[in-house]
Amino acid sequence: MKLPWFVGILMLLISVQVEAQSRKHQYRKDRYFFGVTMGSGFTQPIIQERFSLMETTPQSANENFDKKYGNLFQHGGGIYGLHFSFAFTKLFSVVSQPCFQTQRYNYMNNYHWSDTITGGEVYKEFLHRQKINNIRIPILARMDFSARRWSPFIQAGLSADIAYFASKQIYTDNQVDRSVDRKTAVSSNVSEMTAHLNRFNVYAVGGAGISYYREQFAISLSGNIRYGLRTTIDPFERYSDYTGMASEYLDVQDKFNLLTMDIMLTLMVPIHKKW
Amino acid sequence: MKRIAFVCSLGLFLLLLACEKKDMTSLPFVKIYDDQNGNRSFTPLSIIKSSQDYGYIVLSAFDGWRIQLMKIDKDGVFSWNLELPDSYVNAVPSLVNINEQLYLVCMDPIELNTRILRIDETNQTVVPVSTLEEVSYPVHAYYNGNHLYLMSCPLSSQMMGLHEVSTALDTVIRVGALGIGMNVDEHLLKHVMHTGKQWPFFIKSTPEKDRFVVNGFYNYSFSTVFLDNSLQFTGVYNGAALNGGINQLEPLGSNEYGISRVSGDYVFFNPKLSLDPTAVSMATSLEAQGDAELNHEMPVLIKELTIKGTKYRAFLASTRSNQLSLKLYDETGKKIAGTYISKNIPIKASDMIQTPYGELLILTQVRVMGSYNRIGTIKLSKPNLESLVTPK
Repeated sequence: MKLPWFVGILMLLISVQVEAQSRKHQYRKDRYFFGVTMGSGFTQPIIQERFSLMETTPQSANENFDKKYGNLFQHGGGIYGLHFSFAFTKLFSVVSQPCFQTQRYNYMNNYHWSDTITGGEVYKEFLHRQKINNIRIPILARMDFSARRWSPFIQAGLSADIAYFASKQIYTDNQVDRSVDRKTAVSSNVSEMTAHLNRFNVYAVGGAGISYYREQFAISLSGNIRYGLRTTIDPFERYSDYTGMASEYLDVQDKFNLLTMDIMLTLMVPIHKKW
Repeated sequence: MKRIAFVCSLGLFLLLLACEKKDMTSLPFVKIYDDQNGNRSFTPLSIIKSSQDYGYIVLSAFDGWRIQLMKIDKDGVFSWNLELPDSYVNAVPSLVNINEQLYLVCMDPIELNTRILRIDETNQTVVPVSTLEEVSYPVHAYYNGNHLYLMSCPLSSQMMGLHEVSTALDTVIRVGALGIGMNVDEHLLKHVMHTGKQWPFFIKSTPEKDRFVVNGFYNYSFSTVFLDNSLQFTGVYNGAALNGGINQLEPLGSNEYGISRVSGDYVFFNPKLSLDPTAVSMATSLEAQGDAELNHEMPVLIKELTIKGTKYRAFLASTRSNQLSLKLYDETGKKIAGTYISKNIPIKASDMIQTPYGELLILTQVRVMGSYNRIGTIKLSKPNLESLVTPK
């Protein structure tokens, strides 16, 4: 199954090498590039401290009420926006890609009571799905490794992220099996949770990619790792229950920073060759 | 142009790094204390600051009139709990701090007399202090800084008793009595067993310490009675039989009081009202502002809070739509702020205190999953309270 992938990547590398050696270098110094970008981002909360509305006691069935988070590739979201860059030298440029990004993350938790009055054991398992819509404004320094048409690069910098809307929805079933089927589970309404967030965040960004330059346009494919330097949930608003779900679903969010892996495709055009 | 691009980039970097630092020493929380036994129902009664550390002691009833003590830390995190043996039942809803020792008052289920227990936080237990044979069916306890006062309602007596306890907490040194004139045994038993209406019994004294105000059964009604320091009757504001009257009161001094009363299905507040301690009048005719959203069957709490150095009267009550309504009034009686706490599940305020750090800690009963009555604590942080009273 891996062979086609391997062959494809090998062919790509060969063609990159051939292109790089066979064409003249592209003149980039003092050029502006404007364009559009789109892609996908995968998000993973990095837990700093766990919080729970429910406190365990010696009379609890659970040892703790820690949430179980999904993995990176279960938390996909879209990215689309603009691209601006300016090449200070033929290999060094400053890049900004202001864009809209949707970050998602899920977690599960469960509760259990023994209730002989209502007929035995009561199990509740919850799937919490969160979505955060951001405007992000990154400033990245990009270093290209080649001045030719095919040019691999690395880039790093900071990004200002403004969360303008966030929401969550909870799915419930009555079995504790680390699985809640959204098709059959009982779902809550979608509730806004924007006020629970640190609306402004700063992300450290680093990544790599490859660009293909022509006289009239350029295309780049890049991957970035982004890590939120501020925690996502505002500690002063953690328990404020803007969603109305805190007491009803025993929900309070942990203290975490979001790690995002983005894969982005950018199409750009040079605006003028020289200032 | 390169210089402009460089300066703009640098400016943006600096902007990204300029983040405001907030005071993190006072953070709000909501906690619900779990018990997997779904048949067990908890009724929180009282919360008090620990005498040993920064935590709090919570007194609750469970399985009817049995007693549980729980210790939590300053962030609401569970520390320990203790189910008292069934030889102690019917804890009155008021923990008292006497000379930096915490006490609870309860009852022997066989002898039906009153027991005073000291809470030993170090060993996570209670220590019997005394048995008061002459006090049967205690319903409230109050410490005025000098003496402990108990209110009782012995079965079949058609009387309510008020008892001043010696400083050694071992004998009753003064007794007052209020004639009820009717049999209230059924109401009383449901009250102490937590199976029916919870009557807002209380004993309070005026800031001048010249008078007591007690809420209890009196003269065919549930009434608010004024007593002098000898526990002798001076005046009364009668309820409408057992269906209305004052359900909470906070003495402010100079014969002024913050009151909450119930008439019919409605709750009425007056944050500043003059009451005549020698009057014989009707509580239901007292001037007050009605609030139709409040649940008249749920308790109302009134406390004085100090926020930003200014005193406010806080009224906390349950709404008919499963929220807590908190209203703040200034010293003139003007409403300054109001907010709602919690949503979507039945919630009842049991007690509230202002912490030494300027926060508001509320003890609640919450019905988890719509089924299980559990103990809950809600803390509003100092910034939460300050933002309430800050003009928008």
